[in-house]
Formats: sequence, structure tokens, C-alpha cells
Amino acid sequence: MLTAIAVCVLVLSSDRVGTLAQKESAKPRERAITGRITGEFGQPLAHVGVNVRRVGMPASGAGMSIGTDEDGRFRADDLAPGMYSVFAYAAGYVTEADPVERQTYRPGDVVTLRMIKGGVISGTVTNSSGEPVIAARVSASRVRDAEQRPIRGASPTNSRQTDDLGAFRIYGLQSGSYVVAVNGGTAYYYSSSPGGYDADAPTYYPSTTRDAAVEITVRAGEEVNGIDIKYRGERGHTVSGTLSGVIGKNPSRGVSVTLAYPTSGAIESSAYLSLRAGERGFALYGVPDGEYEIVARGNTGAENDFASAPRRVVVKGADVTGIELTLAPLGSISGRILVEPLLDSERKDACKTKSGALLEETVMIARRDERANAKEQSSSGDPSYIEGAADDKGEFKIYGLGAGRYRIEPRLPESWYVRSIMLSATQKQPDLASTGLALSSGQRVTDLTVTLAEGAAGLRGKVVPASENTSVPPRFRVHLVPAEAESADDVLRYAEAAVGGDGVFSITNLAPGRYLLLARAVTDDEFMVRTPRLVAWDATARTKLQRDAKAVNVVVELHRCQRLTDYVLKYQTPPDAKKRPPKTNP
Amino acid sequence: MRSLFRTAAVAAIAASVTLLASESSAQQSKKEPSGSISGRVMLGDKPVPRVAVILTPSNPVAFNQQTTPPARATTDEDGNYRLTRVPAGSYNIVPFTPAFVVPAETSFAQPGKTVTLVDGEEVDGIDFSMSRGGVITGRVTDADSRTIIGQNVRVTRIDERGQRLPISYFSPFAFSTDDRGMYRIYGLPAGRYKVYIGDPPNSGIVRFGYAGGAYAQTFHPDVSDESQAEVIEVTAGGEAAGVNIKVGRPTKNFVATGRIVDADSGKPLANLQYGHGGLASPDQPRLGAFGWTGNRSNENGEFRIDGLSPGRYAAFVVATEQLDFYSEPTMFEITDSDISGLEIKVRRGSSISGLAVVEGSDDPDVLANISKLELRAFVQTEGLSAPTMGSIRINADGSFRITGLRAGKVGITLSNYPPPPKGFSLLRVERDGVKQTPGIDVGAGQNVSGVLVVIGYGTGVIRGQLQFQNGERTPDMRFMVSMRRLDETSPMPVWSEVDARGRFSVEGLMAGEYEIVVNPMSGSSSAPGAPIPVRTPPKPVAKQNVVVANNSEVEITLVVDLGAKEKQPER
Repeated sequence: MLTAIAVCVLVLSSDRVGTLAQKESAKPRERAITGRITGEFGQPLAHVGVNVRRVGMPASGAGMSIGTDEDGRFRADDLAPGMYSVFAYAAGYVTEADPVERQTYRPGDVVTLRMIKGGVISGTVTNSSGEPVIAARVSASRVRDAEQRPIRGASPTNSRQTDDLGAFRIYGLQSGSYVVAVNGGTAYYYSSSPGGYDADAPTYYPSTTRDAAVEITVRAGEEVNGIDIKYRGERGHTVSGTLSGVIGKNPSRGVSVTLAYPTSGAIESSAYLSLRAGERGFALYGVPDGEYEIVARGNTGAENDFASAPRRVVVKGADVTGIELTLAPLGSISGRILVEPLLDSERKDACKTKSGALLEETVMIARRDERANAKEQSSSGDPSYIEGAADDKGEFKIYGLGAGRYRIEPRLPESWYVRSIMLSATQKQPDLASTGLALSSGQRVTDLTVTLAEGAAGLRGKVVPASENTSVPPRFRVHLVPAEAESADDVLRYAEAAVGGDGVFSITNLAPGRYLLLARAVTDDEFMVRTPRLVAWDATARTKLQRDAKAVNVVVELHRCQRLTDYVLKYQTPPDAKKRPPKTNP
Repeated sequence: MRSLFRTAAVAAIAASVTLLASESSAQQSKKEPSGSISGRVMLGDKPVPRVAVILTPSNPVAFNQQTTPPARATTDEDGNYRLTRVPAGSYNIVPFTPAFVVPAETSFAQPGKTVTLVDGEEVDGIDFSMSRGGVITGRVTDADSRTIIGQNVRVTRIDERGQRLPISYFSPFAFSTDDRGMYRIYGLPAGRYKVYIGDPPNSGIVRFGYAGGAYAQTFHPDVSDESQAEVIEVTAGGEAAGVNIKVGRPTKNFVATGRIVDADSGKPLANLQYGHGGLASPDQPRLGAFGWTGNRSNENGEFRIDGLSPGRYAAFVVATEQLDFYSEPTMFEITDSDISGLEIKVRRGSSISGLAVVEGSDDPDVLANISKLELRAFVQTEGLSAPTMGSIRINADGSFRITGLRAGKVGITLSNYPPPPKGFSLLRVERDGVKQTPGIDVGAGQNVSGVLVVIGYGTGVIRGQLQFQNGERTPDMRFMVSMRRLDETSPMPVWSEVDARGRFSVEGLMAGEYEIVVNPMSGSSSAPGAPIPVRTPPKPVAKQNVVVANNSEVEITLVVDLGAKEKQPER
């Protein structure tokens, strides 16, 4: 049932919900990304540093830093074709949006980033005698986002020292929940002068260990005062050992050794080693009792990156010595993008104008698919996704991949869609889109072929209640399910998007065809996962999507190059789902 | 920038002096060290209970690389502390009392004292007499009353005549403004201060990868002229509040762009890391502070340097590993606009190859250390050279190859970072049996082979004690002892700090006769805002020759005459 009613919809330019950075009109072949950085009231933020960096490029050569002018404007000029991230740094401010993944821009885009005053946590630190604890480092780790969803791999991002009164004030905090620690997670912390607390185990607010830490929820622009910590001053233990194995071509590059909690991935401690001239010993101090995972990683995001396999470490009342971490090269996935152009006969109607999309504006993402097989679960230090930009020939390479299963997720110009993702050497291999790609340690997959086609369709719209006296659930996702029976198992034909609080959704890069549309309520458990897997990755979940979508039976046919906007989708629950909450992502 | 230089120089000296001690600590630790250091921490006439007293190797290189946390003791109710199980070595001892002023009496004028002890030695009487620190606090805003967040506030200390004094206070990095623009500097010695934020004019401060606003130096209350700054009196334990600063607009930053090209063909060179630095002074082609972001030239050889404030700079290709070419830095000046069209020329370098051998031992275990040694090459040239970061590894068979050299006189040394294993030092560099001093002449594009690098190994030990005549040594008198082997093949003396008790020691010396010279030191800590005092050229104050044999220890006493006024270190 296709209801085409013109409604006034605030259209989010991004398909990532929660991102308020706005893209305005894009002209092709531009060489500059321009924009404006504003404060919470829309006032310009002058003389703010803006970093513009090409996404998915190893090492560098791709970044520039520009200062905003009096009017908060910036201009990053002479950019090569590609996708870029834009990051503004203003002390004490945070971006209003808290995107799970960063927004990207292409030359020609105009970016407006709104920054708001970050949250503040303040308090004092005293010892058992009630005296102030002076010059102690107090840090905050963001363990939940503003929606209370746990953040994997939380590490202390903001830290300040107590003053002579024992007072501290941590500012510039993104909305969310934090654990606050004195001497916590010595991540990349260098000190040329010895501290009085260097080898102490951290004390978490109010006066406890990490597992009993009380979380403090703060919103940007707000202050939480009175976070007074009674410092325990317990000596921690030392976890030490040696590195062995391959260290790559350039030994001066260095390695970080990270100790993290296996379940949350939260970083307890980390150290950086230069690896110069046979330096192979490492030591992490002040480690409290606990069970950890330790991993060494040369993490530059470039070719020849290397890492150790994660190892379990149990610290219980004593130092742990003699841990050997064997470094081995990390894996990579490389390949090529082919684009099937439209036939001349197909260049009509919506497809009349050429899109001008460039291969360099394609970014291939290798995303860890952890649920596929629990044994392949990544180590806590591993990034959940790694990007690789394509060059002008469509060749791409994604570096620094640990062992595990990956999904290849192309991020494409709007006019293209994915036809297939195959290992070209083995044509019998099923489409990798449905299975993902299992990478063994150090494996280099070189022959991935991603076939794209021109003429993608897009769908934007809004979900509304089915009638005036019904309502929509607080959170839901919109799914596009292929309507043709023969495509029921074609994962590439499935699409989904989170729906913002205003009911607006946007899905791009769609293959032309007939789709069933389904707005599906998201369970609380499902919502708690910040980076959910796509539902359609599971065969059983696909079957259920098919069934539910057919039951609701909202069909939309998308033609080549069609951009359907202002689409209104009435929220309906599938008949059999009325009795129990939908559960499609077990 | 000057302070940066100085820090580097200090580190270099320290490295050559004390790594032996720290190396020996590692070895000694296997047989459970039994040394101890004790003393008392006082504030005026009152003991200071329950504070940590920290022991760190006095050699900063060793400190950065150590794999055990710094040792620590806590004072009892009477202010007494005792650090036990201390291995032989040289250490800095400092009470961790950031709100108090700890006299800066270590060898390098950091707060605390230096102690050099031998295995099993019990050192007593390392006492500390502290005073309460003062506090300066205030708020920083701009002309429109907006708060200035996350900017460091610094102080300079002045005497009655308005002359700058060196200062040393705790935690120089902690005093930045918070989200309300508030700052609080504590632990300041009683005295007169000027408070400022921002960069001093012509400071040569170089930023990397950040183009946000920077502020010109502004003193409390709102002046850029230091002589107009309001002087803040700080008393021991007192608090000067409301020391607000009003800053002007941030200074504008500029961009420099250009290409990296092959000097011969003119072809652009892609994927090369580049860096830049400020020129040390307007008329000298010498780099001051320099660095790099990791950015590389693009496929057209283009580079781009952001965030430049007005000043003179040079851009160059960064070699963090051995390359077979070198770059000719391009100098440029930023005044009031961006600059483009710069060209960094890259040329194929010369090379030196040869063999490194060890003299003074036949022990295969000792000789096996050769692959742990690294060399460094320095080319003496006219004009500006790009800094070289890479060191040269020696293969297990002793062979080495240095590439990417500019033509000129090439000096070769043993790299001090990381420290070479104990007992190794460079003796000489030979070519065709002829000693090369100060360096090897290398022509453009030349490949010099057959160079012999002779490295000495020894296990001799010199320990000594200074005695003072015609006066008492005050804590601010610091000395270094140099020990030079009286053999024409030994070019560089080794150095030892003299500790709070007048003790010094060096281990791992090659057998031979040594000339021991005591030199006074001056200088102060390099806390931000502290002026760098003019360094007096060290004048020897005592001298003696001794003969050292392998596996043996020489104990000597040197007498320093404090009556001779001109030989005292200058304040």
C-alpha cells in the first residue's frame, strides 16, 4: 500500500541517526570541503581547529588542519577525490551529535557542526585521614552513551589532576555515563617526573574497585558536583613480560600493550613501547586483582601492521611476570570494485543525468561479525571495523585485520548499489554478503571483487501511527525486504535503518526492484547494542522478516535512479506479533 | 625552544653518565639488593608524616625504560623514611609533596637529592627541609568576557630588581584553565611572580597538526609587555586570588604548501614523510624545535604544513628509518599570509659501510652484544641540514651500512638511545688503518667502504668521594666528574654525577689510566616560564690520574677548594 502524501518532513541528510551534522547541496568535482562550526546557540566558534582527513587511507598524507575564522567558517581546499571525516576541536566542547560511526563528506560538501558545552564532573579526593590527595590524576571513562547503551572498550578519555585542595573538575564530557577513577587506566600516559601514586591500583568512585564502581550520568551542558572519592592508596601489581616475533618493517614505530577486561573490553592499563634496538620488555604497573586480556598491537592502520594474539592474565595478590606476547603480521583484505554502468537505453527518466560518482568516493568497510561464531570473538583491543578507501581504479585495501569473521560493507556514492561481493578466484564461493569472510591470523585476501551497479534508488520517509488512536513504539527500525520470491535469500537486497525520534528514516543505495516495507519495534535488549548486526545476516531472522513483512504487506516498487522522498509508512504490527514482542535478533 | 635544546643536552649527558649504574642495578637485583637510603622529611621544625618518598634512577633514559615501578617509602609519624633493597646505582630521591616546595638539589637541579650508592651500602641522613608553597589563582577571559578553556597558565619568578629567577615547581603541566576559565597554580616558592598565558613573541613555538587559535603572550592583568605586568607577591602557604588575565584575539595561523622533488630529475616524490621546525634565530640557519605529524607527500609530491604562526621555518623530509637519500631543507618565512610553491629537494646520498669490532674482551657472551649496539652518524655541513632520527643497527657479524648521507665530514658515535649494554663505549673510527677525527670525508654520491668502528669493552670501576676545603658545600653547588682515558684512541670522557654526599662512581670502564676532573655545574630546572640562566663554562676544580684494571675497583678522594671564589658555580 503506497501512500504518497506530501508531508513536511525535516530531512536528515545522514542515514545515520543521531548525527546532526548537516550536508547541504553537493556539486560534483569540487575540491573543497567548507563549513562552519557553531556553538550551542548557533554562535560562531572562532579560531577552532578543524581536522579534515581522508577516510580509509593507511598512514597519512590525507589530513589537514584548518582554523576557523572569526565567523566560525573553515575551508579545506585542494582535496583529492575521496571521502573525508571532519572533526572540530574546541576545548570544553563536544559535538552535539554522538554518532556511533563518524559521518563522512566529499569535496563540495558544506558541513555545519554544532558543538555544545560538554558535561562536567567535579569533586574532591581525600585519603583515609581526610587529607586532600594532591596532584592525583582523576579520569572519566564513558561506559554508556546518552541512551544508556554500553560502550565496548571504554577507556579514560578525559583526565585532570587534583589541586592542592584535592579538588578536580573534569570537563568537556559527551553525554553518557562514566566511571571515575583516581589513577585509573594509565592509557598512553607519560610522566617524566615521578608521581606519588604511580604504582597504586586505581580507586573508583566512591571508594572501590572497578566492578563496584558507581556510574555517574552526565549530560552535555550539565554539571555533576560532589563526586568525592576516598582514595584507597592500595599498591597494585605489575604485569610484565616480553614481546617476540615479527615486528614489521619499521621497528621504530612502536607497539602498545593493552590490558583490558574481556567482557566489556574496558581498558585497565596500557603502555607504549618504542621497540627500538631490541627493546622487548614491557611492564604495566598498578594493576588491581582481576581477570584480563592482554594484547600487543602496532596500530598505525597501515600495511605491515602487526599484533599478538590476546592472552588471558589473572592477577591475584601478586605480580604476574614472564608473559610472552608473540607478534605476527595482521591480515588484510584487498580487491577491486567493478561498476556496471547503465546501458544507454536505460538512461532515461530519473537516470537521464549522469551521477558523476567517483570510485574514490567508495569506502570498503570490513566489519567484525562476532556473533557468527563465538570462538572468533575479537580481542578487546581490536577495532570493530576498519575502512579502506578505493583509488581511481577501484582498487582498495583494508589493513590491520585480526583473525575473525568480517562482513564487507561498501559505503557508496548515492547512485550506486551493490550487486555482488565475491572472491573472484573461486567463483563457486557463495556471495560473501551472506556469509561474511573468515580471516585467519595474518591472512591476506587479495582477490575480493565487489560489483556495483549504477542506478541505485533511495527511499526517505516518515513512520506514523496507523490511526489517530494508536501510537508507534518508542524505538523501531525500518526494513526493506525483497518482494520477489527468488531474492528472499539475497542479503544484498535487504536494507534497514534506525528511525529517529521524529519518525524519519532514510535508506540509500538500493537495488531497483519490489520491496516489502516493515517498521519493526526494537526490543530493549536489542537497543542496548550500540552497533547491531544487520538482522538479515541470519537466515532464520531473514525468514521471520519475510513472514512479518508479508503479513503487513506494504509494497513499494523502486525504479532505477528513483529517489522516493516524503514516503509515509504507517506503523502496523504483524498479526502474530501482537501477542509477543518481536524478537528477530536472538 | 631554547629550553628544548637544553633539555636534550642534559639528557644526553645524563645518558652517558649513568646508564652504567642502572644497568648494574638490573644485574644486582638478581641477588636481592641490600642497600638502603633513609632520612627525615621536615616542614620547618615539624616532621611531615605519611608522605611518599620516591626513588627513581637519576638517568632519565633509564627511568623511561625501566620495567619496575619507582620504589617508594612512606614517612612515619616522625617524618622518617627508609627505602630498602636499593640496588647499587645513582638515584634521585624526592618527597612527593606537591603543595610544598622541595629544594631542587639533584644533579640536574630538579627537586630532591641525588644519591649514588654501592651494593649493600646503607645511606643515612638524606633529609629534606621543605617549605609551604604558595598559590596563585584566577580566571582567564577574552576581550568579550568569554572564558578561555584549556590554556596553560604559567609564571615567571623575579627578584627585587625585576630580574628573572629560575623556578622549579611541581607539575608544570597541570595548570591549565578549566571550563570556567579558572586556574590554580600551587606549590610555588614564596616570591614575586608575573603570570601569563600564551606564547612569548618569537618563541619559535611550533605546533603540529593543530590549527586552532593560539594566544600571544598576555600577562596579568591584560598586557603583552612583560615590563607592564603586575607583580604578584606569593608568601609561603599564602594564596593570591583573583589574578585574572584578559587576552586578546588568538593569533591567526597560516599554511605553507609545496612539493618534494628529486633534485636531479625534478620529478615529484610521493609518500615521503615531511616535517618542519622553527629556525633557532633570525640570522642562523639552525633548527630549533622541530617535529612532524606523520603526514606524507601525496601522489604529486605535494606537502602541506598547517597551523603556522608568523616566523621563520624550514621544511624537510623526515627519515625515521635509514633511507638512501637525504633532503635539503627549504627555508621560508610566514608573515601575514599563506605561502605556496615551496620545494624540498631530495638527493641520493652517500654511504659508509664497514665493520664494528670490540676491543677488550674475547668472551663470546660479551661479543654477542654487538648486535644490541646502534651507531649514529652526524654530518658536519655548512648551512641547514635536515635532522636525522634514525640510528644504524650493527649486524651480528659486526657489519654495518650507513646510507643517505650528505657530503661532508661524517662523524660516527655509539647511539645513547637506547643505552648500549654496560661496559661498551666507542674508541675510534678507522679507515685504512688511519684514525678518522673528527670524521670521515665523504664526497657527494660516494660509497665509502672498509670503515672500522672500534668499540671498547671494560669492567673496571672508579668510585670516589669529594672533600671540600676552605668552605662548606651548599646544596646548590653541583658537580660532575669526568673520567677520560689517557689513550689517544679514547675520544670521549665518561661522566658521573656527584651525589648529595659528594660520592660519585662509574662502572664498566676499559682498563687503562684515566684523568679524573671535577667540574662545577650550573643551571636550573626547565620548568615552563623559567628563564634559562647563562651557562658558565665548566672550570675544572680538581684533578687526579688513576689506573683502572678490569674486574677491579679504584676508590679515590678528590679535594675541592671552595676558597677559590671564581671556581664556584654561578647562580
